Amino acid sequence: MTSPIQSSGIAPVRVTGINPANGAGAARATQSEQSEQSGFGKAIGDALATVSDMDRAVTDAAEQAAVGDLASVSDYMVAATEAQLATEITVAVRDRALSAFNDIMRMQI
Amino acid sequence: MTGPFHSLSISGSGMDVAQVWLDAIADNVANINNVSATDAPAFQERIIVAQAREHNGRPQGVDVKRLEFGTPFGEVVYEPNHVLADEEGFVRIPAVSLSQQMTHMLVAQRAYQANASAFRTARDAYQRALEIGR
Repeated sequence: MTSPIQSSGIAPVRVTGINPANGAGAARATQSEQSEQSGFGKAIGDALATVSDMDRAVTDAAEQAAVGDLASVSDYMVAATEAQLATEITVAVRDRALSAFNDIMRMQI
Repeated sequence: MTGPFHSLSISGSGMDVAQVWLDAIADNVANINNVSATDAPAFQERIIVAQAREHNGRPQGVDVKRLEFGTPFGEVVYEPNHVLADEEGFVRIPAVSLSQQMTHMLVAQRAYQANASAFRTARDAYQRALEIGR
């Protein structure tokens, strides 16, 4: 599918000339690498990994319930509720960060 | 288990203990009419011993520590026409009181419900916390 911009004959802008090897660009690249290791993305990634682990525990419990091996109903409910809450918290944090980002993007300059 | 949702697993352990307790009561009630010969042991009442789970001074819930058994002697009653009766006409029946078991069952049921209620309250609190500033 062609976009309206292309059909109107205007080529999409291609940014050239930014070379990360020189001065400011290199510094910025290092900074972004650092923020990748300790920043918000990593925090969300870790949280999602935890949620994923919890979800796996719930899946195991559901499987046990299906085949009749479930030792305790409450264990299942605890695991399911914990996974639900952890997911809700992660999503809430992401939503809040996204809205902060959008607020910054809408800022008058 | 440790983590942010500690009260959930604490309430879960309480529900587990109430569940085991209900199992024991069900076993006692199921066997309450057992009759045995006087030279054999009577059905022994199942008794749950619960103990607080504690780790580094923090509450961790409750555990079934062990299962204990009531007296194997039961009660010797005179039933001369019973097939298991000895020469003098006696048989052994369990020393389990049905009314006591039913009372315990109500308490165990309420214990389970109370833990479920604490569980729900904790979950609602966590969910309410997510709505701060929304």
